[in-house]
Amino acid sequence: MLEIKNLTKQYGAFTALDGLTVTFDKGVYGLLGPNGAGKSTFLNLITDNIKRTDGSILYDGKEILDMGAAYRKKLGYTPQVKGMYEDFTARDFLHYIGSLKGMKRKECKRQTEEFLEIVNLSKAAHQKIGSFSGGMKQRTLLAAAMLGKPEILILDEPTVGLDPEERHRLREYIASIGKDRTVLLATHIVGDIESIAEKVLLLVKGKLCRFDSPATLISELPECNNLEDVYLHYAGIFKSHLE
Amino acid sequence: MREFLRVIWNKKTILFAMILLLINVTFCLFQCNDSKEITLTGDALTEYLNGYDDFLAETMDNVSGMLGNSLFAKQDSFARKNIEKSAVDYGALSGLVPEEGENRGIVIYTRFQLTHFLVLGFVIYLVLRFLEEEKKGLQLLVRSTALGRIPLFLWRVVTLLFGAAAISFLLYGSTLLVVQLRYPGADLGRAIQSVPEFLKSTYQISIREYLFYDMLCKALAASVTGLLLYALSVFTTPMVALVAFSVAVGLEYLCYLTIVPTSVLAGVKYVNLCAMLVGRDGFINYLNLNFFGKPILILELQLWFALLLLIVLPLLGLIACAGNRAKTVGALASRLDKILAWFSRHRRPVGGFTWEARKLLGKQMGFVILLLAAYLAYSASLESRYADLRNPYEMMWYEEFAGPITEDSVAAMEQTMADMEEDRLKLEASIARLKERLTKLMMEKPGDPAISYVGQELEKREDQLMELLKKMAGLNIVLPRAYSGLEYTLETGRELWLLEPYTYQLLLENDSKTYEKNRLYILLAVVAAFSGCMAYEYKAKMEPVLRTSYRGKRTVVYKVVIVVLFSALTALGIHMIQFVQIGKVFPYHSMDCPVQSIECMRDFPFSISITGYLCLLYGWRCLYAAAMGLFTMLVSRLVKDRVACIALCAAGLLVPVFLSAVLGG
Repeated sequence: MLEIKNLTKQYGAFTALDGLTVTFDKGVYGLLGPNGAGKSTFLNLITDNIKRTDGSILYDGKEILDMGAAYRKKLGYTPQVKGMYEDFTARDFLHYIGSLKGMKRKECKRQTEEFLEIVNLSKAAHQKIGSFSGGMKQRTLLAAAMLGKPEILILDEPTVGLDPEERHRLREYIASIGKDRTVLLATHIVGDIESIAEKVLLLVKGKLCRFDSPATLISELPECNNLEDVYLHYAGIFKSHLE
Repeated sequence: MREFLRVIWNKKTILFAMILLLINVTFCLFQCNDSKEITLTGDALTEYLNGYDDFLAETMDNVSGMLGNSLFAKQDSFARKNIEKSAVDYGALSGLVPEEGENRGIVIYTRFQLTHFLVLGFVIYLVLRFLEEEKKGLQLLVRSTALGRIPLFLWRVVTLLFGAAAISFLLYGSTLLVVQLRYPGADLGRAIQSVPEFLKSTYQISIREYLFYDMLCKALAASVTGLLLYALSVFTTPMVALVAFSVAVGLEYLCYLTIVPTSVLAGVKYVNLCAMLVGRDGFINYLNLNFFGKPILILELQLWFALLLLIVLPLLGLIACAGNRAKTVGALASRLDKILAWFSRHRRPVGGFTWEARKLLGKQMGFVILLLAAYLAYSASLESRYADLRNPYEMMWYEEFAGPITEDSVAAMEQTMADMEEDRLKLEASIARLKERLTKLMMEKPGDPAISYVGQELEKREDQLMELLKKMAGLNIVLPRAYSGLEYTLETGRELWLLEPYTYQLLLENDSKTYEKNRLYILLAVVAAFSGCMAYEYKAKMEPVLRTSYRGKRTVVYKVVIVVLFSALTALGIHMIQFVQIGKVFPYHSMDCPVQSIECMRDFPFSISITGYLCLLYGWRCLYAAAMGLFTMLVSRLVKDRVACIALCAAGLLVPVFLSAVLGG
């Protein structure tokens, strides 16, 4: 269980994230918010990539800063800025990520082949990532994040560049793996979240706007037919409120 | 035109060219300062010049002799034609008067090898700039534009030719400038044969003309080499093109190095791109190659070969470029792809350390760069041979009295000296007596056979005296060293050994220029090899992934270990070249004795053997290289760009060395 208490991040006078308190159990969670809402800051904080100003993040009751590498061992992450070695082959890249995750070599090889199959890259696995299309790169990154079957999977815009068929396939896969781990999915493609997320965390201007299931969020607002409408509604409300 | 400006008139390209220029000038300065026995000077040069006519006459005699030989009687044979051509070529030189003058600069220019590698590096860089669009996936976009095929290809050919010519003239020109400044006053109007290295040359040109033609040939060779890579890349993927190019150039270099000039394969040795880049053979060696039975000089055949490639390669590229298909994977590449797939599937995952080593040494070409530096240092070391000019009459005493310097050993040396002095007096007295007897005999009995006997005896004694005097002179050099050692022992209580001083003095003090040059090679190698260390991660945007991975932070430790290890190994390897080269001429001995036994090491404060000191010294040099590696890593972390990192490190590390080379004269 990942507990976030009063999480705050300030850049000088600007508050990127303001006293966020939320708890994630096993399951798929969606993270929605307009540009600049603090989504990436939030993900960077829970992956311990940036220093927080205030608050705490506990994993199974333990502060993640104290856990250090032990926490990172449970983490799988695809950042928004897609980092990859373009001169590596997809298979080599996954092997490399496996070594970074401290996986046993045999297990790493086995899982690499398994995830290459899942993301439909087995045939292109010996090719350089630099020669891949955007969608193929995205799938490689997803496979890399899933490698080692981490307990917390943080995916920042994981389906960007995928064709509808691939997106559907991966969405189903994410839903299936979300049963026994925490998956946090940040995206602008609201449809991806609506069908698989147990709860949606809606961030606007660094503040937690709503944290509830998509069905509840939709039912609360009669004028909204789907999650995208809800998202636009809250984004609009906050915009007018601030104005 | 925009392509020309994009590639050539570009900050990165100019910066790269400037770095190459700085490297070239610095190493050339070292070469000038290091090469003491470059070519014949003084009396030896005068002797060469006076003997040139004899050489020509002798050659003509040989040619006439061979023409009269039945072995070469067949009129249409290549051998016959070759001899006839030699007669014509050398005959045309009659009346040529080689003149005395400053030749050292010209010889260094001719022998200096680093520039060839730098020019080749720049040409490859230019072609890689052309291929950037493929790396970025813009190939189809470019090809779909109106000027994206033939016009773009032609502009690139022009850019490449201009770039190759410009860098050749810049770098070879800078070498020439440096040697001219270092050895001023060379009269370039003299015949090329005035330089002893060009003894066999049959070209009737001045040194100035030679320099101009040489640069022109090298620019042509560089252009053709670049065109070859570019033409290959038009046909296939950049990676396959690079591999094919590397294999082709590597094989050509191997042929150039290993095939002997008299072999039937001499054509393969000389008519190849590497031989053309090196350039000097065509001017220095007189060798006619068999071209369909016709004898043609190396240089002429090289020029025809280069001109042919200069036309054929762009034409082939043009045909490939004009096609209405985008570049596709050919049958060979497809087969290669299958092989790669098989290997990829069967490759076992490796540990984090190996991955970092692969990234640093493989993907970023670190290993190739380090190896190349070691090779360059080795080939440069072959040019500065060590000559053993030690006095054997001095050396024999070091051997005789080898061991600790004690009052007893010094007394023994003094006693030996006293004994020799006594022998000298006896011999002198004996010689005086024999001389007197000989004079008397010649006066009184001119036909007496005893005269011959006494004469022989006198000669024998005189020889003995000469030998004795030489031994005494040798001991006279050794004795002060022994006194100085004994004095030191009495003062400090530290026991010294009697050592011949030249070997270790050369290694530790007198051959400092070689050390400086080697240090420069190491420094450059380490900077070039590891400049991309951290920049690579930034370029790949992998930092967040590394930071959030279980062992991500450990990769920095691995990198540090690899940089330290390989910097140190490179340093050790390159310094060992000097150690071994000196050791071949001056074998190391008495390595267990205290290091203070070496005169220049008297002030060394610790009691340690020579072996121990050398270990410390080389250890320290390795540490220095490791520190340079870590410094490069730090700069790479700060500037996040490989070229910028090299430029900064070059400014920070190379400029002071460059200045010291300039100021050090």
